[in-house]
Amino acid sequence: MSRTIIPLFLLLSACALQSFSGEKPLVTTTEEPAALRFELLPERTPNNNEALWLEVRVGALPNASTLILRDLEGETIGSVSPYGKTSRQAGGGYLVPLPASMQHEKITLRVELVLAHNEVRRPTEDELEEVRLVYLAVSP
Amino acid sequence: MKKVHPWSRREFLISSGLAAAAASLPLGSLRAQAPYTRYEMTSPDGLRMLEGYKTAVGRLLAKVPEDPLNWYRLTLIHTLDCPHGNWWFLPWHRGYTGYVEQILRAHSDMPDFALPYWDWTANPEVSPSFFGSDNALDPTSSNQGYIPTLAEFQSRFEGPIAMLYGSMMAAQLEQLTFRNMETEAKLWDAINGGLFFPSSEARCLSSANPTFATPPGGCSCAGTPKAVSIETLNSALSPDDFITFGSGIATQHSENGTFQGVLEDQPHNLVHNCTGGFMGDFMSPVDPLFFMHHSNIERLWTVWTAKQEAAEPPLPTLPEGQELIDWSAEPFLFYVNASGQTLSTTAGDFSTVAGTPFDYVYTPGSPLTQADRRKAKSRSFNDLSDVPFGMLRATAKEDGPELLARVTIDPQGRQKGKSFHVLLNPPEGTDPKDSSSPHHVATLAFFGGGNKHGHKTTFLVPISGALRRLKAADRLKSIRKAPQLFVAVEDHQENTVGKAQKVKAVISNH
Ligand SMILES: [Cu+2]
Repeated sequence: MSRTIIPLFLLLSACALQSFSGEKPLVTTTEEPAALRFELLPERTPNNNEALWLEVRVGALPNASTLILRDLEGETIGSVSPYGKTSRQAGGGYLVPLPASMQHEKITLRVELVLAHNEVRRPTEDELEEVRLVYLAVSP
Repeated sequence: MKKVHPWSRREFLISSGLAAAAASLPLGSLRAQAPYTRYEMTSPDGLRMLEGYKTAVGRLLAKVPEDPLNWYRLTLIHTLDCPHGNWWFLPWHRGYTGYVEQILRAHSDMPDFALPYWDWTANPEVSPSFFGSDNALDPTSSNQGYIPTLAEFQSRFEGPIAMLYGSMMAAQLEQLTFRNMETEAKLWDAINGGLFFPSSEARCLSSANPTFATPPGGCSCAGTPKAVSIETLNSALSPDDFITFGSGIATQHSENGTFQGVLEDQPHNLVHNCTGGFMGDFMSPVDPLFFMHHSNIERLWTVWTAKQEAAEPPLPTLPEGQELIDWSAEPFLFYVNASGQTLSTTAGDFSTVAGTPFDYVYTPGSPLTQADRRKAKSRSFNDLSDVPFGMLRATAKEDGPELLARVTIDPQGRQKGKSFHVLLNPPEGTDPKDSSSPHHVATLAFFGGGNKHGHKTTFLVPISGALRRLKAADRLKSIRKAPQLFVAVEDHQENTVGKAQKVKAVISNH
């Protein structure tokens, strides 16, 4: 896959998180009652033939649950809902496109786990392991 | 691919009289049509296909469990072998839907049957065609042959599944070790562990609440409207390389790949989970919606491939280099054909639609291009005499629309050494062979075929060129009263030219 992964990491063990380099804090998270809110700082604006997406790495997710990624206004950006029990238990990486309006500047996301019967809670650090920004070569 | 039935693609040749029209038409329209069309399932043709589908599914449900074509046996191919979350997701499902389509065709009473597709971007809901207690397309209707309980499924399939394992080749069993299903006991563990759904839970979306946005309580539909939206679809189709588009690398197809692409992890997964019941796990093909869903996923792969090919310079449509070699060699050993024989294939056999024995095309669906939108406005007429003269006059203009005639030729015996001259209202005394005549539309010929008896074949013939030449010769008015196509057969072996006969031809504009 032709893409660059920026070393922006979200490790959900603390409220304030650092990039791998440990220099300046690039990512911060806030725990809301039913969601996890965090910010990602893109390294640069994507070029003309590039798009900035998320790669969301999850662990095992509860049966019939869906991880929903929203913007600050609450609009759904994308979801992770593994198909089949095997994938749901195995976890893995899921590409989620960011809308055109979110390709620049700071990206603020709220992530919530919607369970069966629409109960909503914050995902645990085992459920949402990592979110990274990826630059992809794209064409319309 | 080990082909159980020899298969050959008949090639066609259209010669002379067409040069002018050919220059302005996409190459595709000059070929004879692919024999099978996968229509959008709520269109008139799609609904007609769903009727054939219903007939076929009913018959496959009624087959004994020992029969490899039994509906649940076909489902088990998916349970035992489907890749998800890796770069074989697309080719495996192309093969699976393609062979099941052939089986369905053989049981549908429709020689032109092809799987219609569910364009969930345009129709984010289960169509009414899939509901009803007397409907074989509704898996909650136990009176149609769906098995109502797990206990009943166990008692009916215990023997046949034991037989199936007994008949497996070593290579198949090796594949099954990768997904922990190498013994029948392990398969039963999976089935008993939540793959089977009793009738009342066989599907979550219901006729009262069929839409993704307002599902019945208890369905897992959060995020689904966004996952099937046009924005997500455009993103899914945007990557420039196969792996980002079609999910990440794995070492074998039952392994989780490095990541899932957007086509798989957004619309594919969420439509499965939101539809619910069987659709939510690896026995999903029990629900007939599975094949409409995957027909659309498959269509979107062809849309992406066309995008890659149209780029300037063209972008790759498959993995490249050593990765292509590794990807192509992956064995798919569980498909069965319409005779119930197990096929030994590899991923590379399904890398292009043209390379498969399936031979289908799709009508345009989401996301529609400008050209598709124009096409969507296209009209068709049962015969040339039904086309308003104004449209013929408009077509005759230099930048007018294209009019295509579907001309069916029956070679009536030997096809070799014959030409078929298509003419537009030829005046008395016209030489059918004279391609310089403005009334001469096209000359059709079959390519190859030897002295064998030829089959009836439909050619797509552009008639705009002839209309332009008639206009230039100031003879357009001569066809005004009763525009009509004729065909005259020229036999090169006998050196004869028959009399031009009237033919009916469906006409459409583009
Ligand atoms: Cu699927």
